[in-house]
Amino acid sequence: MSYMLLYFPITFIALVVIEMTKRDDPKEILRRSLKDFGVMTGAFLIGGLIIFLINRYL
Amino acid sequence: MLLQTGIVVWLTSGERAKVPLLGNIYLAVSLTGAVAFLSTLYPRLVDLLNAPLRGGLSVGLFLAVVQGALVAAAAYNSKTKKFEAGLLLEKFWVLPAAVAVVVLWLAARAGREDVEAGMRVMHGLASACVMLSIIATVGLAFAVPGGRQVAAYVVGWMVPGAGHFMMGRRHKGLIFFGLLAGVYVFGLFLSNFRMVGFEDNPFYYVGQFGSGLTLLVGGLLEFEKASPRAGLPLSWFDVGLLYVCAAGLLNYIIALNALEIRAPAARGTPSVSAAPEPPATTPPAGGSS
Repeated sequence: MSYMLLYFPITFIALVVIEMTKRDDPKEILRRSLKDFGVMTGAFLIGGLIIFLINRYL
Repeated sequence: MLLQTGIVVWLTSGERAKVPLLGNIYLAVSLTGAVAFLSTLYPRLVDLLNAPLRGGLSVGLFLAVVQGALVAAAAYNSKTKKFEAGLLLEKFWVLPAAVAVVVLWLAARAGREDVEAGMRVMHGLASACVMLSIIATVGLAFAVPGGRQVAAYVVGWMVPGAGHFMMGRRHKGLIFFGLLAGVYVFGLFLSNFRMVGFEDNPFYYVGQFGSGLTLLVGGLLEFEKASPRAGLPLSWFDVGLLYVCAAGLLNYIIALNALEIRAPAARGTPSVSAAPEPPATTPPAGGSS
């Protein structure tokens, strides 16, 4: 599981780079990156939870 | 390089009469470099080119002969009934294709007796073509409207963030460089400071060469295959490969973004994409010539 920690920096940096190509305001870049990061991580966790529950109980 | 070629074809499509020579040179070196680079990924290409066609004639020689005939046909002026080299400059496809085929044939001939010698020829040509394409791009920057963006794209491909730096977005360029360098070095650290091998993952292998700098580092590390780092969990190895690849792929986005920067931005002004310039209200000064 430890390698899962490496998901966070690369995903966040990728989102920051993509946002930086679209706008210049640092606060806006950070805000949108964090928002996207939250959505992606949420989807990631929910998906993982669903797979865990299916494997555990079905 | 193929992407570069496509961009320059697009940029020069309406300017052929003005810059046929530079455009041809650029396309020639780009296409040749791309062919040479791809052939280094697939050494079997040399074997294929040396494969006998019929009666001892190799496929490579056959291609060279056909291409020579095509070049001659393209240079022939039916009106004056003479061969005119100048006509080749008007036919953009001829020179790049001719150079690419001749290079392939030369490399195949070198590889017939010694495959490694053929590969060295390919590597040398690919490197030379990269350098020449950069020179030609700089030349195009002065000759073609919008060429400065192309130069920024190429420079941005060579060094992450350098395209933005060149176009006046210095802070952004430095941040891009810092982010990608960090990702790349951390990925290399996880993979024991070796390059991603083709056997590890073909996609990651190509992806890691998303910038000239990573290509240079690969050359300095002698393209040795990556291996798990001692003292770290084995599962981190694949992630290390991903980091190395991600640094290269993200640079493509950054380099392409440099194409969108219209002019060196004054300090504090918003980006072009965020706030496009209003249409001109005064008519342009007419009658330039």
